[in-house]
Amino acid sequence: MSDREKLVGAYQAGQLPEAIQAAISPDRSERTKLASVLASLHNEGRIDLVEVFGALTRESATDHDSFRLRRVFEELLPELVAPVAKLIRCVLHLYCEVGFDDVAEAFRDFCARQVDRPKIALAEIEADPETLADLLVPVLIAGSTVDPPTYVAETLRLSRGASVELRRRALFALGWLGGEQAVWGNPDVAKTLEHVVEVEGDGQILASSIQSAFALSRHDAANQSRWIAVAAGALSKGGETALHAASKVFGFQTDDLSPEFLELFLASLAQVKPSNKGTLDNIDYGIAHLLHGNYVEEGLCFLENLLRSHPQEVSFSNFNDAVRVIRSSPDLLSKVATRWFLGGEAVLCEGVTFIVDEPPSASPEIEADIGGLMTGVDPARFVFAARKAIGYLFLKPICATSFLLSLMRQAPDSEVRSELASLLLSPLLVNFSGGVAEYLERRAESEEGEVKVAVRRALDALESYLDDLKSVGDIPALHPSVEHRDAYRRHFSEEVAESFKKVQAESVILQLFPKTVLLYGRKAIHHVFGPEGQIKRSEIQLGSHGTEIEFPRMTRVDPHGLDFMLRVFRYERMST
Amino acid sequence: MILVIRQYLASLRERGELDSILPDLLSQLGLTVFSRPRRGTRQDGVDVGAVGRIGDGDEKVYLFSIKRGDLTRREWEGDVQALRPSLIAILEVYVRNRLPPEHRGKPIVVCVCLGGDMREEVRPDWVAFIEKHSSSTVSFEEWNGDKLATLIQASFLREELLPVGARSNLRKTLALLDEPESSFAHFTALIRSLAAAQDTDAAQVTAIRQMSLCLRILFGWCREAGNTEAAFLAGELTLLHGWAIFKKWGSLRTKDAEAMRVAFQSIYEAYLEISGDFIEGCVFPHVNKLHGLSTAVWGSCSLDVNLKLFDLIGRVGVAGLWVFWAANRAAEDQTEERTQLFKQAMGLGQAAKDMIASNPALLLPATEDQAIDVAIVLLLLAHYENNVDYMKSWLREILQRAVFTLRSHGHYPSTLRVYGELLLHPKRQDDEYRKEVTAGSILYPLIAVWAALLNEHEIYEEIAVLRREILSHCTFQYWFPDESTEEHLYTGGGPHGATLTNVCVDRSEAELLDQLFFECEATPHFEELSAMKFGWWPLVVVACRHHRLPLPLQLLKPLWRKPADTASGEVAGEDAETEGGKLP
Repeated sequence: MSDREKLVGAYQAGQLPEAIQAAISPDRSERTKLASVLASLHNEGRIDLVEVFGALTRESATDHDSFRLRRVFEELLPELVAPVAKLIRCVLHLYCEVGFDDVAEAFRDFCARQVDRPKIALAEIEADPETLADLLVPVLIAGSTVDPPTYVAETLRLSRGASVELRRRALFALGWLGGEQAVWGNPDVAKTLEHVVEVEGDGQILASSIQSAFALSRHDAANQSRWIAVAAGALSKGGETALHAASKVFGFQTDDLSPEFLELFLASLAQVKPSNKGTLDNIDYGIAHLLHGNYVEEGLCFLENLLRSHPQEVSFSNFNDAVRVIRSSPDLLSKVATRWFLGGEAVLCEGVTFIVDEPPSASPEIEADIGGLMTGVDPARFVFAARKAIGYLFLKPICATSFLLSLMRQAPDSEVRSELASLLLSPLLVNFSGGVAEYLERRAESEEGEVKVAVRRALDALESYLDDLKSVGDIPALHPSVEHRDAYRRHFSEEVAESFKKVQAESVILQLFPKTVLLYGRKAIHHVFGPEGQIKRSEIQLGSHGTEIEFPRMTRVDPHGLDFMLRVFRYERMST
Repeated sequence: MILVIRQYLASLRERGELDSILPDLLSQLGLTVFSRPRRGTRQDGVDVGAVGRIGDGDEKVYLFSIKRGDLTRREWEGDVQALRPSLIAILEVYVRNRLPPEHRGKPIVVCVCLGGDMREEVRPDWVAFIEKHSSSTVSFEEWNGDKLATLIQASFLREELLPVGARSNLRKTLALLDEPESSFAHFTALIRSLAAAQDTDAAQVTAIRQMSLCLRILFGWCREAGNTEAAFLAGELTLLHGWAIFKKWGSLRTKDAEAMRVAFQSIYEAYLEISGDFIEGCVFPHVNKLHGLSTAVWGSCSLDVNLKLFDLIGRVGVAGLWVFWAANRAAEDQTEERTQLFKQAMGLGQAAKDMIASNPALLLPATEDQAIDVAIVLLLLAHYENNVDYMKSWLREILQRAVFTLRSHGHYPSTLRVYGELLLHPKRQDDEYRKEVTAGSILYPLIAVWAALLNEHEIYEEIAVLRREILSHCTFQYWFPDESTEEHLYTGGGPHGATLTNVCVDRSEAELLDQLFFECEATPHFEELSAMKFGWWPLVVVACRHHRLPLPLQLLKPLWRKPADTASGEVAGEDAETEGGKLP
């Protein structure tokens, strides 16, 4: 039996989705061939795909690997010969009920294949706008590709029509219609948008106006100010929905934003409500683009404003993409660290901690952006920035130390340099006599002049401090009792077990693979059974992995003093 | 047991240590000791002199010359301090000129007392010496480590002289020296059993001597093991239990009372020796090293460091108070010794200050209980006018850190006592939990009282604000001795004393002091404590430190009555001094 016959048989048996599922190949050309066979069977009248797909539900589609079914249907849809009135409902069902997200685009291509299809579809939609409005945009766009003047006119008509649902969609479609001359050369398009912004109060309508105004502005530089005015007007009265629409443009079309649009969006999006996570996500994406491109200053200022405006509700965790960009660029990291530490605002300084915290075991070097930001700065600011760096990067001591070193190099006088060196000794070296000392030993070689001398002096002071500690020796009479040591060991292992469980629960790998626990041995043996029952033996050698953490000495010796000092460093301010 | 004693004797480093136990041993053997070791006075070769019968023999005069460890050729005749010149001095000077008249004519036994053994290279000289100097009235004996151990066992640690299980407890005490708490637990059981077994006067004297000997054996072993922690705790315990027995004899003038006085003195000396050894060995050399002692704790966490350091500074405080007390007890004509002791007490105060400066853990107690150690150190520092500013700054720092941690829900001082609970503190960072673990306080009232006494209005005001804003639920309290305190203070029995609960830090400093010192006057129980009656007030401090009781406010009374006295260096000891100050 040929594939065609198998499919027909399956259709007759009411099992066409399963048969399609079985016939789908991962190979794209095979999938296209299958779509073509199905379309031709439908067009020959041997199967009714509209009926079959129209009967799918979200649950049944899930059972049948909806992604592959979706792709096949989207591919065959433009090829179908079917009554528009029947098909439009099937498409709507698949779009709204089953979750075939891209089916509207396929329907647009279907409509564009014949001149009368958009017309019939439009008539259907206008007859039942409450139900079919969601398909208005693809229909209008399809129409504009076959008969631009007519469908631009239709779109404008619907933009001022009685149905809110249709107005919302038609206004959105305005920005995406084909037949450029028919749109850009039509003065009514701008007038309509201006009118809408003036008279409409509906958020979605205004949101559509923003998106259309932006889309139109890209091709019509001459009327830039009119499009800006439309977007500004819509933003001023469109509320959260309008802001969200602006955030979409800002986030996903950042590179296409003109300076005027950028300025408008930055000013408007600063009003975002922290509870609108989706809008914030778009903004984050947009800021990341700005930082990555030629608008670093604008991106940083915008990020700072957002954080300042909502210090309690908005944090750096809302800006993961922007943070990733900063983290991946040493120059940018240097710039923001210097700028934020100099400013001393807690909400921004915390950002530096957040940025360098990934991966948790790393402690990257940060150079102060001396040339850019420190020129002409009050010498006291050097010490202020250094204390901020220690306050916020204490648990990333190499970050803090490298920042201090770079400040020392550029310090305006010996007094400031000596003050910075004393911070290098305490709290950094005294607390991290391992990692920081090693780092400084290494760096001391390449430093020059007074900095080299100061670093050497700090290292000598550390050595003398450690010599004193060593000279105390072992005094068993001062050791904690066995009972206390046992209690602490229990407490510590409970804490470790707890955090281990937490990490395991969040582990993607452990969620993907089953866990195997070895009680003995140093390698695992697996027997894999072949189709004939033969055994294939494999061994997995176990490796060990570990990490090293240096705890600040003061957490044992003077935890309160350390806590207090770090808080002072973090929250002290300088009068301007 | 012989081996235990033998090892202890061999471990004695100083001649003086052997000096201390020999008189007890002789007394226990039934001899009357008429000459005891004295430093710096001419003894003409005799370290200890006693008279009496050993076993069934005749009454004889025993003159001892003591040498620590083994007798080598150098110690036989190597220098002025060597044995041979001492023996000649005994024969030629002491017997002729200094033997008490009532013992003249009695047979004389010159004994060479050694912690260890006589080396073979010396023996021919010793035999020759005996042959040359023996006569009908003078004979010679060698009391080496083996003989002493046998005599000690027979006199003190014989089964029938000890309560059931005591020898076993002593062995366990020594076996567990590396775990001082466990070792001390067995020693406590030993001391309690000795203290309980007192049927007769003689048995009581024996018991107190046994305590002294056991303490010395423990100390010897601890020192050898390089960990004197168990001995330190045991020293305090033995002193307090010794006092609990001795106090009943204090006002008597009988022969047994004299024996008791000597025996208690021996415990006291052992206690001082142990305490001095501990502080000089473990603390003093490191007080000036930044974070030195904190690091030496080898703690798993900051809590370990905190607990140990407050414990240590309390010990230094007590040591300083004993020296100060001793200085006050010194006779008027012993000006140099007195000055020396005052300086020594000041040195201990300075050590406490250095500890605080070098170990910031001492700037904030983890538990309310540590207010006791703070109080002890303040009491010591208060004896010297030049400490006033330091005391103020320490109190200010403690208070600031307490306020900061209370406000930030950090590691603020709490009423928790169990180590496991302290590890988890603060369990939650909310007001409800904070209320729970700060339900009562002796720390803040203590700071308030000192702030009032030192005229430090700012600190006092801050305490009032703290109470008003954060600790309004907390019972600010002060503990006072009551009629049952005398019974339990030294031996650490059940609850005793009475607590004033509404310490009025919300009123003026003067009103607070009036309130508290009024309560001091309201009952006579503090003055009636035996330690106070006999002028041994540091014993109260030791009892408070050891059994974790707040220091009675009465110890500060002189500061309140005569603020000017703070400059004179005579505060707490003054009253005690006027009531005697010497062992009764």
